[in-house]
Amino acid sequence: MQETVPLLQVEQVSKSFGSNQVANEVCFSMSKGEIGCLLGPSGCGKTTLLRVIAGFEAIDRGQVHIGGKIVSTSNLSVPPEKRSIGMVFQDYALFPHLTAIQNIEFGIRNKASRLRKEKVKTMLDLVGMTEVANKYPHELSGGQQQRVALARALAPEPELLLLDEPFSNLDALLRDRLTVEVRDILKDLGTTALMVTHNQHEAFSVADKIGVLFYGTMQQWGCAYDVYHRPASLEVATFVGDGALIRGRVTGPGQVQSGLGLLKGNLSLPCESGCDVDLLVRPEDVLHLDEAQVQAKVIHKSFRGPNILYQLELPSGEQCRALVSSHHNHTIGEYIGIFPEVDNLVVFPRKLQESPSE
Amino acid sequence: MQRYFSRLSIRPDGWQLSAVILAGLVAVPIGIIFASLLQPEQEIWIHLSETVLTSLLLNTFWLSSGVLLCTACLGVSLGWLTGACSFPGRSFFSWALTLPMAVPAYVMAFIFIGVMDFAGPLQTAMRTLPGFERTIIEVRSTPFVILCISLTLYPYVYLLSRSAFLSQGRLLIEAARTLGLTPLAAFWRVALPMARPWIASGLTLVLMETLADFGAVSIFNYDTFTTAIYKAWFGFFSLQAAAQLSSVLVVFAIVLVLIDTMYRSRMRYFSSARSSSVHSRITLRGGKAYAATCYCSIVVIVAFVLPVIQLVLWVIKAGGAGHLPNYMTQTGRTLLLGSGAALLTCSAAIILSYAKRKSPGTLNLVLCKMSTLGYALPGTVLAVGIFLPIAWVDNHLQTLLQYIFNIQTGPLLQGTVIVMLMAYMVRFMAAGFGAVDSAMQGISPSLDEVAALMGVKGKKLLLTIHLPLLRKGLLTALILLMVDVVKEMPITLMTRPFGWDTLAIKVYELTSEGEWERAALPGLYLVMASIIPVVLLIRQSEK
Repeated sequence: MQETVPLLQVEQVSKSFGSNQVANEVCFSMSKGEIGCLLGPSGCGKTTLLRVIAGFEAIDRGQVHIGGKIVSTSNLSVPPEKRSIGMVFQDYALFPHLTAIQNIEFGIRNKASRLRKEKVKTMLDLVGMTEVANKYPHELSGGQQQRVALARALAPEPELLLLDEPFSNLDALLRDRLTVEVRDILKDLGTTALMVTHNQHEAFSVADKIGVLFYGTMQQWGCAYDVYHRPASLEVATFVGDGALIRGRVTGPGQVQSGLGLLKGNLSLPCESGCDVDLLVRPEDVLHLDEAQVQAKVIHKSFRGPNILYQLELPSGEQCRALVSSHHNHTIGEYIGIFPEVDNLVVFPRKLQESPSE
Repeated sequence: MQRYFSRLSIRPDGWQLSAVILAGLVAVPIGIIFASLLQPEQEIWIHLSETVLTSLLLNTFWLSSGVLLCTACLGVSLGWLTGACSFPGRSFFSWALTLPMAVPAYVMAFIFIGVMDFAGPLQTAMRTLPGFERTIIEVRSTPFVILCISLTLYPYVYLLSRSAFLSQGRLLIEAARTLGLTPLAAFWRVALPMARPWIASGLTLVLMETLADFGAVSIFNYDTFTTAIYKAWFGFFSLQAAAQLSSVLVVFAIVLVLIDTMYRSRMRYFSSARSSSVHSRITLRGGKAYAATCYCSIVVIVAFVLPVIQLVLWVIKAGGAGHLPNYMTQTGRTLLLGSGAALLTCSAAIILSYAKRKSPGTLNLVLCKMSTLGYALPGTVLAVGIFLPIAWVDNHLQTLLQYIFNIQTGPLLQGTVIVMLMAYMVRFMAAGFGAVDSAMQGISPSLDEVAALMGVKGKKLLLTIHLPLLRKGLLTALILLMVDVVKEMPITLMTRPFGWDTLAIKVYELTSEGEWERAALPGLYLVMASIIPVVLLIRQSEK
């Protein structure tokens, strides 16, 4: 049993705007120094949850603890300025009338001048923005604004840093670089942080723990590996990664018969023999071998440099995808041999009358 | 030569030529007044400084500072309440608070005096109270002028600061709160500093209007430059003295324009990209909410509801006594002048805005800036500035006609509606141009390029693409201009054809004889005429 108090604890939080339930009995917790990420399609309630934790929204039921103290219940809401949180906003929310330095100083204005100067300098060094210290936000590029916003949020040394889609306004290249950088900075400082994003690659590269939210319900809270390879629900399985679902039938312990042939591995659910299931097949699970038994027809292909993503039609008429080295260049309409290599068989019991779809 | 042309971006075409002419129309009166500043007439100035100058300057100073202070407090507080907070009646007050714009300052002034003068109902009632039998409150005094003018001008500050607080959105306030600020501290340290350019710009407009005010101060018998100019011209028939006095106001105006330009250029950087979302307001509860509702109600009641009720009461009383002509001629003329000037000014604004769009070079930008300078010029000054060159042209025209055709003509241009319309256009170009140009800027240049690819250019582009897209902007411009012209007093008074009384003139004539009750009906007409555009404007801004 873990004895230390979690730094952030969200207990059965429910919240609705009118008839729209944006958080439904959400539970999760984070220990000190962890980086968490709330992942989900837009409108799933993840930003609302972040704003609940920040103290901008009241909750209908449940509790939120930060650092062991209760900050939100159905009839109490500690104001944001008293929660010891820092926040990085989607469009940075830098104060346009203050320079980069003044923005960073804003949260530590009550500290002694010497301490303040030192802190600002440390922060500027940390985010690599020393040379633009005296510029105004409108004179900074998107990436620079983002770094200043991060420095501003971190300067007061908050117990918990909240990041609301922090990279969504940046171009892809910069985003990849900054996600890694931000993770390094947060880990260096040992800051506990919770980020919200709809981009799973961001989540994978930054977070220790990922929470997948759908329609206000926390589907899964776990590490990236689990979320990807052991999705807890059909929604998670289809939202994370680009897997396909194909029909299968459990024929024995750890055995599933499907359009890809007989698959053996650890079943994600204890299923009895003869049970009809939907099986998750990731593109990297499907290997290409010319002489393989199963021959599938190429429907679509997209060239991705090192590999090609093929959309294939199985003999059973179902479709799946295969990620194949780009040396194997096949044309559309051609039949290619494939075989599955799946260790963890992610299966979901099939509901009646429901045809499997992507 | 070629290089010089391209540096100033001179591209001689029809649009640019028209822009030059329009800019010239504004430049001439300003230039003439300015020239009279550069050639001061010793005798006039000695006479002025011996008699009125000190009191004029002092009056102007106290009036301006008082009005600035009052409108800043009223405008910013109301703008913040309706723009950033949430309390019972907020959405009603957010438009109701702009209604006082429809009450011209001079109408407010005669209501003030009529109600609060020594013989008025308020003081009469007060004297019946024990201990107040001998108290006399002098209404024709600085504090009351300040209050009266502030109540009609605060909407400028209110509207601008409200839009500033709205455009800030919740985000920056929330950012400030995650950095440890309470909501109130966030207002003082973030919201207010960021709204500074808007507030300053609103205050500059207020100051311009205060300096330009003629009607209210003349009803209060409060001597300022505008009344002095009028008296110099129509009282002592000294156009020279009027021109000299005008030149002082022109200097003020130029300074104000520079300040305004400076602040406006900053707005761009001070606004955040996102607009506010639905649940972003600070919700006031309990006593605070009650206080906010009360405060807004009091302002709306004092600045709008009571004055209108008083006007109606006077109209009924005068109607009962049978003193009431219906002023149909004057109303017709007012509307005719308003719509004529609005159409003329709007067309001119389109030309300017189009010239700027086609070649946004230095020259065209300067021309646009110049053509819109009239908003800073008090009507009295402008009247002098227009009258002088028109009189000069008239004289030469007469001589010429007599020389060539040997015919005696009277003055051809002086005292015609054309001169009035021209003066209105110069004075109100900024309002029209602002509305048209911001709509024009909203049309993406790539639309022009798409049209050009399909062979639509020039006039056809204007007719098929731009005008339809500009419709909303043009409507706003027309509305704004109508209100302005209908309320306008000094230009009308000083340049009108003989006997051309408008509603504003009727108010001036009747109030100068203390006939509050008879002035009530034209006053009420003016308020009603101005309400329609104000309401339309509000509805448009809320869409």
